[in-house]
Amino acid sequence: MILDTSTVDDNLTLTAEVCVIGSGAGGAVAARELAEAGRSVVVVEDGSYVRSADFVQREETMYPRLYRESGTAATADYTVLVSQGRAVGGSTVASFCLCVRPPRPLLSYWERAFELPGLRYEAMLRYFRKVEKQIGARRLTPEQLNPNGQKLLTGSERLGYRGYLPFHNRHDCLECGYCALGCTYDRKGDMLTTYVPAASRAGAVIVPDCAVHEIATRDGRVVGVRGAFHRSRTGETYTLKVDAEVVILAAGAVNSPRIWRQSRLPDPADQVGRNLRVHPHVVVSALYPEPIVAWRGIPQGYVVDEFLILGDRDAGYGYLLVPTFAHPVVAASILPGYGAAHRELMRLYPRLGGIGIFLHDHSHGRLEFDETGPPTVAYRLGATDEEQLLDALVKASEVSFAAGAEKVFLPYNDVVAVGRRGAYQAIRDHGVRLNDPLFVSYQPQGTLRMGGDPRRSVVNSFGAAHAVRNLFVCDASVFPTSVAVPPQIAVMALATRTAQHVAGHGERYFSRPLRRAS
Amino acid sequence: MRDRAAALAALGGDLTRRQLLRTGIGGVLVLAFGAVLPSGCARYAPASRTLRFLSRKEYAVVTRAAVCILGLPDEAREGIGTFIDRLLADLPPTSQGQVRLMLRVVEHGTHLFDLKGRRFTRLTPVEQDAYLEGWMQSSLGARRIIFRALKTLAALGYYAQPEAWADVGYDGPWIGRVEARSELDHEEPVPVEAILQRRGAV
Repeated sequence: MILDTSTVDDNLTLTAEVCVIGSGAGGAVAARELAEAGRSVVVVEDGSYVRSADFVQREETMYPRLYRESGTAATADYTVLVSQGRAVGGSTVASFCLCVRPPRPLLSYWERAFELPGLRYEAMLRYFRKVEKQIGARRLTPEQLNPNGQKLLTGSERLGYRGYLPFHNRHDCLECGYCALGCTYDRKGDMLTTYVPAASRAGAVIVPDCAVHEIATRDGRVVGVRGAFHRSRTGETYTLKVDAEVVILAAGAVNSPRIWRQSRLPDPADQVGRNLRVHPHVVVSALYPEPIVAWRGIPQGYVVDEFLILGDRDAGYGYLLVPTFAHPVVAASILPGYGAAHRELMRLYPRLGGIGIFLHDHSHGRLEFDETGPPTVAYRLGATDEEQLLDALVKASEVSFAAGAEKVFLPYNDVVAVGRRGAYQAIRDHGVRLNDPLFVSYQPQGTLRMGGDPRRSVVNSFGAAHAVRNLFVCDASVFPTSVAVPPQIAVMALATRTAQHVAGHGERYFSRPLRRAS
Repeated sequence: MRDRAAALAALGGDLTRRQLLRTGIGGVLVLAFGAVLPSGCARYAPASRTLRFLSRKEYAVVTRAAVCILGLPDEAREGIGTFIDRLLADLPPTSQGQVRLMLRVVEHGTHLFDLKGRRFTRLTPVEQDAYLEGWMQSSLGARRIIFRALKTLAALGYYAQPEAWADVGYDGPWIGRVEARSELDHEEPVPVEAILQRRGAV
């Protein structure tokens, strides 16, 4: 069941065996697994229950509807905009549907360096397969590439760069191009169309429009969750109290540590909110001789991983190149330039393509907390990552020219254009400075990281808190380093593993035996 | 250009005092400056439509800055101003306060950053361009932040309007233009009583 919060007219108390905070890739999966295992589950979601009929394909309407803080929060110095979903289904509702498993060498490194038994690729395989099946992940075909994706494929193949057609979780896609604004036609296997309804069918209660401000504990063990509705019948603010024996924290890598800290949960090693990776993203725009209408079609249909260097001895380094584009408001706000120069660029909109860079960052920041509001994100690129970024700008430019671009525009404030292949001194000259270029993070991670050693981690390999009994974390907060690829599959697989662990150890975590068999 | 997050940066509560302060001494200066600036509207012409959020002064600043930044004719101001006013009126109070502070700093920053005797809206168009470009290219992080926010606000105010799309070749949403619909029946939410009956509240 999903609560219609417009009917709430008093403080509400619920009881459940499990309370899940957040309904995105981690929370929805955990909720379904545990509900199907026979446990009573309440899911508390900060965002609203918006459905495909609400997805109107208009930027100014959908960003506030689907994203936390009307679109984004930023790092302290505005170097990185941190974008996270806020709706039933979480960020998956507005995702570009990339389904990429975490790389095998990285998982081996995590298992060994962070003392995380059971996380190697082979051991995780059954979880990958399960979640991929549930969300309908399948490989994109060459015919499904939109012209912008074709440019990346063509350019990289001509240069001999390794790449692949990724798995995605769309079915019968109409290729309208509005994935980032929620799928109007429900052709996306996001949490809203898969795990959330399945959890509900299995008996879970989903409570939207409610901000959690406390995980309550007694004698070092969780006893429930406290929150406040920001929607009600009367317009008044009412409280929610969920008494629960197990709490699954899955509110994302910024909000989960906030809840932890505001709940005054123990943090003996001072690790909560540290080790933040943001997987920084910037876009190199390219002007082609012919219209490519890059806002139509499947937006991110190809991945170049030639420059992602991974081994099982360290976390690796490098970046991915992915075709990327935006609708007019976002395009206008991020395309470089001022006045007539900017307008001229906007008039070239149908001939513009874009290559997005996702940096596998070594740099790590932290969250800084105050008593009430969202935490401040402190993050600055280190020298190694800056070098990688400059290299990525050059490689993305190279690929664009190899695909036939006439000109390349770099992601700086002012117009910095490269007019021919090889003329990349402008990139070195401009370099990287504070908020120029401006990075976006769609995939913050690492702020409640897992590890076997409580002195340098917050949770163990099952997401169980070292310092609080019966508290589990199921989101990208738990990654020990950047996961290097889009994190959806990693989050879902780890959440499945955690939930199955909890369900399989009922005697340890619950006071009552199962109501029914799974 | 997937950077959709940039779109609502100015509106999302990201331009906080705390964040600006962390940009260093420049941020402190900018904010301290903004805090002591006048906010009266007596010298500003009234907008042609009733405004829900913006004052006359704020309307004048944001619309003038928007057409400068986006390279638009002056006639575009009314449409942009009306659209932005409607968007801002629905924001939480914290975000609204940040926008007001930002616009005040831009209007009166001429005194601090360009040593001009006139505020932004009183400059000639050429001077206004030079002034705003100075924000974009400034070595002071806080000024570049404000320029980013202003540009985002301008982009929202103009390019969210269907009237702006033809000029850039954007053909607009599919809804209503193609025969396609969802085949999924989403679950209807239930009233709180139904939850209580089933779950048994304490």
